[in-house]
Amino acid sequence: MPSAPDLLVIVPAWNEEIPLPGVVTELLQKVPGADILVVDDGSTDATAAVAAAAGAKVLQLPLNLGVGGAMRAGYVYADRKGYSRTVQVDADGQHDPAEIPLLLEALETEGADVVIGARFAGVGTYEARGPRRWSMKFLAAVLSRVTRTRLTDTTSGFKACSRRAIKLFSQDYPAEYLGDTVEALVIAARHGLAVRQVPVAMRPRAGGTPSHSPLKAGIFLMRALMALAVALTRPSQERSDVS
Amino acid sequence: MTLYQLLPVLAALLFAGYLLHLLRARRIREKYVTLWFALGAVVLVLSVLPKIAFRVADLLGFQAPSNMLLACAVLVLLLVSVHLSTAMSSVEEQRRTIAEEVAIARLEIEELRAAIAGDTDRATVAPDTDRATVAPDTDRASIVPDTDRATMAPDTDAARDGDATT
Repeated sequence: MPSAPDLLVIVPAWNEEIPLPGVVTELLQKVPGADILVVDDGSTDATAAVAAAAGAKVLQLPLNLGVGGAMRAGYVYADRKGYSRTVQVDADGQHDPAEIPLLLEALETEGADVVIGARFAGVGTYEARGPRRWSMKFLAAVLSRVTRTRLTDTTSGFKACSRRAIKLFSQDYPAEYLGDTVEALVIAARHGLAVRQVPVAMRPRAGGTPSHSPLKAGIFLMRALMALAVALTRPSQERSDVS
Repeated sequence: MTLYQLLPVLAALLFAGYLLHLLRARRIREKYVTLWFALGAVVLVLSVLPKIAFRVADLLGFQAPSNMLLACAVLVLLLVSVHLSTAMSSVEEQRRTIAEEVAIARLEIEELRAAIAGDTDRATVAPDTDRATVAPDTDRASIVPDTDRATMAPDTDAARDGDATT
């Protein structure tokens, strides 16, 4: 057991037994010295087993809690074990581990507490279209104001956190829809944490493509607005002894 | 007393009996039963003395007492279901916290078990064959010599140090 753990890479995974071994192996290669924590979000397949076999620590949730639930479990673990930084990486392989140092560098050089790996910031070819794109632009505009920095991609699951952010998120990380992205940024901003973004390129997902149906985009917008409205008007929590 | 008057009384008593049954079978907690008992009592009083309903409805300006009773019933049920939703939400939050704790405890156990296995592997006094034959973990702990337990001590200390920094 290392006496002073530094970097924990948290990979929330729900039924990802196929892409996961490759992702873990690549993380171990490209981020040497980091501990890899796969949070198995109540999977019904062999997600936990393949993650352990690939050399990751595995936090096996007995229930499916959603990405927010899995991530808070990860932050609680990181907090208790005293990790000073975490990086969240998706289990489907769309985040390039080689870009993790960029995020960590921004934590240092910009004194940031939360660094987002942003998809629409000029690097890479990821693109959303139509109403979904407008929704994402709107979210980005509002959250840029809230966090007082320019954000172009607020729903990215590629994020680095400082010790302060780990502490905060281990206590308060919503399990709601979009809570792990939109609302988490609002929570961070409200507690005075510095949020920054770094442009990254996304790789194609190992399975499935984002939906472009107008109906789904409409529902996405409504739920995003709901999440935003709730997050912005929520009374401050009593457990806000972080700063 | 006509049958028409007796029916609601019977219904209220049956309802109360059912609640008591649930309570005794521990399928419902006392704090939830109180509300339903109170509502049952109101229904009982009104069915015995319907004049009260007429008087109050008249006082509040309802055209008919049945309107008032229905409005009250809807309002009460609405509040109860909202209350149940909030109770559900808090239970879900507790469930989430417990799930986190279980997952973390499980990982710690696995790591400790691996560490113990590693230690006993290294020790010449406890060969692998011995471990395989003694199935339960508690038994295994008792046959591990003191020297082995001493080598494990720094590990547990390190774990505690890690926790203390939080």
